[in-house]
Amino acid sequence: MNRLSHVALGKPIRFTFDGQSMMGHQGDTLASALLANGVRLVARSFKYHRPRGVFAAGSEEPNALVTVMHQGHPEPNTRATVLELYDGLVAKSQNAWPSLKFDAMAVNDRLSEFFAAGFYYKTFMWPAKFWEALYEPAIRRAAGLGALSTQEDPSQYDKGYLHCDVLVVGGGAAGLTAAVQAARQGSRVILCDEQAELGGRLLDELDRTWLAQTLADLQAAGSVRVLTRTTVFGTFDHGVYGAVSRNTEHLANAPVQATKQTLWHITAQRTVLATGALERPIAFANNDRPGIMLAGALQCYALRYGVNPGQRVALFINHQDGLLTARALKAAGVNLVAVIDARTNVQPAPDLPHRVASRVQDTQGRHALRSIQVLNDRDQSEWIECDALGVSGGWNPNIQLTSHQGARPNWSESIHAFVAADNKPKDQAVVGAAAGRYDLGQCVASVNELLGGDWPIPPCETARPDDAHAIFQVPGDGPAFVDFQNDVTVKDVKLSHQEGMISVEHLKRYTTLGMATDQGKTSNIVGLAVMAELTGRSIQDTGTTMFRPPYTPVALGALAGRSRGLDFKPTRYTPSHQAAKARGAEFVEVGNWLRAQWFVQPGETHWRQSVDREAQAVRSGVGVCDVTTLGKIDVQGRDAAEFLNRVYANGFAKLAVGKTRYGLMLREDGIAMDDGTAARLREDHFVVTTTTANAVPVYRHMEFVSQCLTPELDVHLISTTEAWAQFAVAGPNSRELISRVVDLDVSNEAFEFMACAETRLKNGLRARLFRISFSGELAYELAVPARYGNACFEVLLEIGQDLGATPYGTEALGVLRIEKGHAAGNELNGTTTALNLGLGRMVSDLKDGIGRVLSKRPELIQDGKRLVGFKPVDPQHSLLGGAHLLEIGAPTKAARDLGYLTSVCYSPHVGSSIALGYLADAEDRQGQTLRAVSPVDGSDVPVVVCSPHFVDPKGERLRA
Amino acid sequence: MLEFTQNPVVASKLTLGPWRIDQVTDCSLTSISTRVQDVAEVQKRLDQPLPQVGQCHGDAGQGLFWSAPFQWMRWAPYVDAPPTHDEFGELAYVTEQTDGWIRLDVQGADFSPILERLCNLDLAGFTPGSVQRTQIHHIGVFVLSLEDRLMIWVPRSMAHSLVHALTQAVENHLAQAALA
Repeated sequence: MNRLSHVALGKPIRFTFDGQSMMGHQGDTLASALLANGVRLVARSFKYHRPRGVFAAGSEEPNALVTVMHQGHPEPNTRATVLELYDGLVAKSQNAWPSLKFDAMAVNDRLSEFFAAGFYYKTFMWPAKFWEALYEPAIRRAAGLGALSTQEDPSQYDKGYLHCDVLVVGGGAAGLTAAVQAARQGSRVILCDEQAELGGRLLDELDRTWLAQTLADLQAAGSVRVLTRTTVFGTFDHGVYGAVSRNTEHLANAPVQATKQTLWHITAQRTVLATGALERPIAFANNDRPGIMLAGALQCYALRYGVNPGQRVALFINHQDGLLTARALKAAGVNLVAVIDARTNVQPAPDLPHRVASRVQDTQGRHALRSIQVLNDRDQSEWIECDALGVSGGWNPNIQLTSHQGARPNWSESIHAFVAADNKPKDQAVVGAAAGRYDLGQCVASVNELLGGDWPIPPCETARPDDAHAIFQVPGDGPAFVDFQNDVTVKDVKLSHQEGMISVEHLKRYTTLGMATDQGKTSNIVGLAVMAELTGRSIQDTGTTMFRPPYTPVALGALAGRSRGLDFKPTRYTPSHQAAKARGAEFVEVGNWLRAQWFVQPGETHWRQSVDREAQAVRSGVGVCDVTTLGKIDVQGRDAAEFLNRVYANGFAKLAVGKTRYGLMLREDGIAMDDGTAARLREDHFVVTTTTANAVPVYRHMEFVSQCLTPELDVHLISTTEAWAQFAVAGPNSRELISRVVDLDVSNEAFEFMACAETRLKNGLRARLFRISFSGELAYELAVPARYGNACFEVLLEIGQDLGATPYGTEALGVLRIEKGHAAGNELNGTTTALNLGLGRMVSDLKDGIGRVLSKRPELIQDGKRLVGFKPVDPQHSLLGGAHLLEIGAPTKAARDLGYLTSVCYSPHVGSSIALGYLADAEDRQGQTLRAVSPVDGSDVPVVVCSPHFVDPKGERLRA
Repeated sequence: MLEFTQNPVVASKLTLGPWRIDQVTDCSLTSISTRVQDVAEVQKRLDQPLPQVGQCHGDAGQGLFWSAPFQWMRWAPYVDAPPTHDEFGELAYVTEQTDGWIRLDVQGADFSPILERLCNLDLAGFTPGSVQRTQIHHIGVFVLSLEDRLMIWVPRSMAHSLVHALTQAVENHLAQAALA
């Protein structure tokens, strides 16, 4: 084991990598454990399948992506650098075949000349049809990341909402200071950190005295909610932040109910971004060999995890902080063989093997680093044997969260990095390394300045970012990688520039620089710097691509939370649901409602048998259907009638108390919006019904009219849809059935067609009765308090047995209304007018109503299509909804289209398929034979144009 | 002959960890809607103040909560009679809402760990006497904080889904708490 002695290791635990059993310790990440086991080669690169090792020590890792088995489910593209080790962890390398060490696809590296930036835009052009069928699948197979299992993720995820005065993002030196100070000032604080342990880069130090004291202060501060293993991944509107907590991914066995991750929606009054900084590499030839990593990562593995990174270790740096890293490594017992410093204005440090004015130009080693070629300022090169190289080209403040709302970062010449723009969200402040103030003292000072505190500034060595010698690449012969995850090299950037990709946005898309799971955390700046050199512009003028959420990848499962499968949305049950289920109902989803579609009786093997029986039962006896789902809106107020006059096309002002009227609602543009009834219960009290689908849109529309268009009217609106269970009781025996239940004279004289009443049942229960009909039969709608809906449905069917009382579902409801020629959603389809519906006379000119003026537009008036009925010439033929109408002998062309069928059904009353539909010049075509053509399924059926009223065209039944 | 039993309840003495959830059927709900200028007069008739925005007052038996601009809801013991429209004359319009909603009372330990998983409430300020119209599992609900309980009013048709969401959130919380 490659362990250093200064770290007290946790409990030993076993894990496997690519089937090989290894030993790690509690507190390790998979990356640290692999390094401790001497595993350098952990992955193959995206395109060239080059050997790759661990490169970073945090979420910025571009290389070390593995597939981990979590609760028996493979989780691809997991970063080994953030995956906490647990007993029995099983990890596999990805993107290699047949094995990581002998990857056949590594031939791509030999052919890299052919795979330069944009190669697939130029190479696979002919024949065009091969692209989707052959080329793209082949490229996808050859390149890429881990593979999805295509199985459903068995893990559970949940969501939550948090609120605070101050959200502190990042639990390093600046974040801890900010959290404690804000809490002491009385703020409710949430502190989030993506690691398991607070401390940030202070955890990579030998001396943790300050950290221990500050953590104790945090504990004592009280009002700080600490969320570790939590990544704040996005800034959203109005001080809202998205965060993901990883609950169980670090555990060997956790119950699935404990939820793998929680997605937090955090609303913060103020946010302190103490997100730290990420180290950036330097591009030089073959800078991607396993064993080469960021210098800070080297320090982290050595000092935090006690992993000896190599027997002979070198550093390649360009700033003072690199020397601090070197001294820390040396103090931990690491054998430093060279500190190659690009700076020319410093003296060699006597305590280190410090080579100033030098650069690493190339490296050697197949599956792991063997040696580096060092070039000094006199152009003398030397090969130095080493098996680990730490690289640091400076630090990039982590400012992604400042630009998610559109603020483009500014380039700072003093620290050679982008910093947050002034137009970042107003609630945000940036402190510590995220503000370019890197060392401990500066971190604390920046928080003091922000919060007005006087936290003692701890003594520390100054990182001095301003002394950095800006170096982003070292010219050389081999591939110098800029973006490790996407295999983008300096040469690729140059090529894209040669080919006209001047904008950084084009550069990104042409080369894929900065894409994929790491979103260019280690590559963006180097890529921009190379681009700037090519264009001769400054990095500020070259610009930068924008950051968008998420900061790190977020599982779709976390975004879905508990809303998946049957829990995707709530289910609405009708009041009679249980009784319907007991009577054999098959249910259909109508919005969120479950409605009985038909009721299967013994011996019925096809839905048509059930539906035909139910429709016939209504026409011959009496049927009962739950129509609770239709919207009910209570309209009260002195001006209620005038209000309805405005929202309906037809008049309501003179509707008598105790009467109901059919109403047609138009949109402002004159198109039919919804139909329903309005019953006048009192002078100042109406109950409006809507279609099921439009219950909410109509209510919303009426609220809009009330609040915005007619605020002078005294009107109060409230939904009562759920309060009343309502049943259609339809058929020639309906009066008898109703009279057995309701304590009211329901004779035709006392309770005529379109009457309504607030009444009581014979058992004293409150009820509402409406004499309205959708089926065309003598019919009522009976409403009772919803808690009695199930019982009411049962009682109606029980006491109506001798009358043939039959439950009927939505399918029979549809058959009955088509037979009667009543319009429904198919006809009110958002393109049709009152004229189309044959209801033109309902648009009253005697009053103003919404949609009246625009319904008179010449374009709408001239549209001669009208709603009519259709029957197939041959009763054996079935009709198809959506079929278009053409004259006999006319070619099947849109130019000859006469209209279309909107609703079709089999009518047991007629004995054939029937249809409603819109037809041009309908009145002149009555009795004419046309073709109902559906090019989609190839049907072409001769039909006869007829009245839309297949049943009782004079309306005698419903008035009987 | 016409014996009407009530629909089955969705939750009765439902024990979830340290919490108990009960559907309260012996309760009516009435909407009271006023005009701006009539608020003071309605308060006189009620002989109690109408709660301010986001506020409620009352106990398990009866009370009032603010529900929308110039609209309040009153809960009281159930009676099989509609609210009288004459109660306030033209000062306010009353609408029976009793069976439109199901009342679920949550009692027991602090319910905050569950609520924060379900709805977007700032729980620090959600002290007894608070009410919030919010969403739980995509369902529009009223959540009231009283001295001894939380009162949740959920549309009747979706009450099953809400109880399922509560149950699931409690299971998730308890399982997570056991890990700590």
